[in-house]
Amino acid sequence: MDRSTQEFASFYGQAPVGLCCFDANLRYLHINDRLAAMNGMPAAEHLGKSISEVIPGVAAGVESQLRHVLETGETIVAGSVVAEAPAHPGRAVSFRHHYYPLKSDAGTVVGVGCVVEDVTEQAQAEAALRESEARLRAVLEGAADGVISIDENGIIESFNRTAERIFGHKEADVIGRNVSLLMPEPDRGAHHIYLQEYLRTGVGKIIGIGREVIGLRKDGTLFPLDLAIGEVRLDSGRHFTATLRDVTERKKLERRLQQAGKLEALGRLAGGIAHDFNNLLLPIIAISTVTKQDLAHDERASKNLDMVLEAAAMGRSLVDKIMAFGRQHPMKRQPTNLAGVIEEAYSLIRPTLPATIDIRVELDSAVGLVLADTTQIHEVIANLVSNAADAIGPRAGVIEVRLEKHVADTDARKVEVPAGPHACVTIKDTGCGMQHAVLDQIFEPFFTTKPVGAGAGLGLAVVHGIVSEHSGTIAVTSEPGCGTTFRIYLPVIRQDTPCEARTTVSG
Amino acid sequence: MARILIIDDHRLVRDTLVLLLKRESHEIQEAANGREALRLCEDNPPELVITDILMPGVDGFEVIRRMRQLSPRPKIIALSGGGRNPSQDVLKKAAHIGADQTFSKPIEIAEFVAAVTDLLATA
Repeated sequence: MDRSTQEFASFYGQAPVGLCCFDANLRYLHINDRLAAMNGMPAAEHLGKSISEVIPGVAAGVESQLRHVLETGETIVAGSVVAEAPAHPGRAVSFRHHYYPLKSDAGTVVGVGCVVEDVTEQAQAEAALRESEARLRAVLEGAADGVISIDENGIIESFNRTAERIFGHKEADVIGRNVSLLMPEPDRGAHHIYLQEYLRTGVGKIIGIGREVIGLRKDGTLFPLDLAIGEVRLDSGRHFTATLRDVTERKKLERRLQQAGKLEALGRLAGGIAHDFNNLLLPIIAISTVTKQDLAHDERASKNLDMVLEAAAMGRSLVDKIMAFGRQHPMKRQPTNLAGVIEEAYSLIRPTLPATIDIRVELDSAVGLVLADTTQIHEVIANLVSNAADAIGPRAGVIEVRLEKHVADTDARKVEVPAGPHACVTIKDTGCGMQHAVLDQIFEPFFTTKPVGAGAGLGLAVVHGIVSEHSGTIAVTSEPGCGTTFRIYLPVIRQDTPCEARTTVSG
Repeated sequence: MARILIIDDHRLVRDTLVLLLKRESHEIQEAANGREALRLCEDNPPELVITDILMPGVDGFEVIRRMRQLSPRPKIIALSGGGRNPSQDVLKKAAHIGADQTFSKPIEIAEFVAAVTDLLATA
């Protein structure tokens, strides 16, 4: 054997992959030790044997491919087989093999050469990776938070199911698009610059920190969300994963708690003011009264003192309202038929309102009984109807007062009324209406849209306080120039009511 | 003419009540708080005590409880301007523990003077 033949024989024998050649009858011409070991048979014993004599388990498949190479002269690359290891019965192994034609000098195919790799470990690693990815995917899809991943250009790479629900976009519609589509301006326009700046400097406002931002849903609505972003550096570049949570409900709750705290603090303040006011009014009223008696003969002085007393009386009425807001009188709640209370309130209020206002009352007595303090409900109706009349002013207008059942499922108005049956009292006017900015403040004490001296700004604060104490909900809708509608929802304690069905009054 | 003790931490209220009752020719004593009032009553109780309820230190409720133990027991009028609790609630409690009459501030002058006269007539 010359030197090159020796070198080749050494390379062939020690190659880390299996090598063998078949003659035109598909019998082993030679085989290296590596493949012989894979087949579980010494190399020398292979020579002259057919495949089915050596590896009967996979012979049919292998022979068919080898025959194809023999017949066509084509090469088969990277075919793979999973089979029981001939050397280790019971153990599944994966092979990757390449079959190529062996040709004579004349170009005739005289045999087939084989390269066989044991890729069992690689296949196992790939399977483990697939399983791990499936697990991760399941975690992401089941996550309560939205999870979105992007590349360093802001292109969305993944978008889990919660993100779909939060934003209203389908994953397929956003993959490959820039994440800025989920942001309103000015974040949308600035995001690319922000991301590039972060990539350049490593200084971020959100990445690694987290903060609350505003998101943009597919339908164009905005909402607050808590956002945390993590970064991962891979061979393919830098990638970012955003975890986000829609905090709309939490923000609403926070606002409600803030409002409740503010009202509580104002209530304490109002109580203090009322106490001091009463102490100041006492001398004003008492001394004016006795001085007026002393100066009964002086008509001018007497008239002047009447003005002092009138002002004091107005102050006294104001204090009563402040007290009503500060800490309502202890409630005397009893099962109440609201229709009766509203009718009674209407009969008292009607004479005080201009004849140019048409008041239409429609009361469904079958709404059930509500646990209510009738005096306070009276005050609520009087306040709202009186406000409605003020909103209409001297023009002709209509006030509708309605009592009906509130059924949560069928009510299209988005009002947060707790579960369970409720009676809904609606007071709707055709008055001047309110701007949205005004609507946000109307239940705050001392807020008024009326001219100075025309209203203390306590009426709606008192109404709100009373409705809350009745475990009720109040909602208001208004459009400038189109009027205002107040709806009060009070929980019904009993559906049965002795009253007849419906009362309609107009005047 | 009767001897009346007026207790209120608000000077203007005291001055006003003094003015009203002096016009009825009564002899008036004043105290700015409950402690001062109790000291004034130790030796010689008045025939009528008019007391505010919500006062710092010894409040009107305590004044009423102590007055009930005096002999002869003075008649008691309780006043309240309300506050965190409505004056009606405060005065209901005052009546419960022994006030003979109660008034919410600002008082109705005629009713108040008439009540003073009636109580003194039965004293």
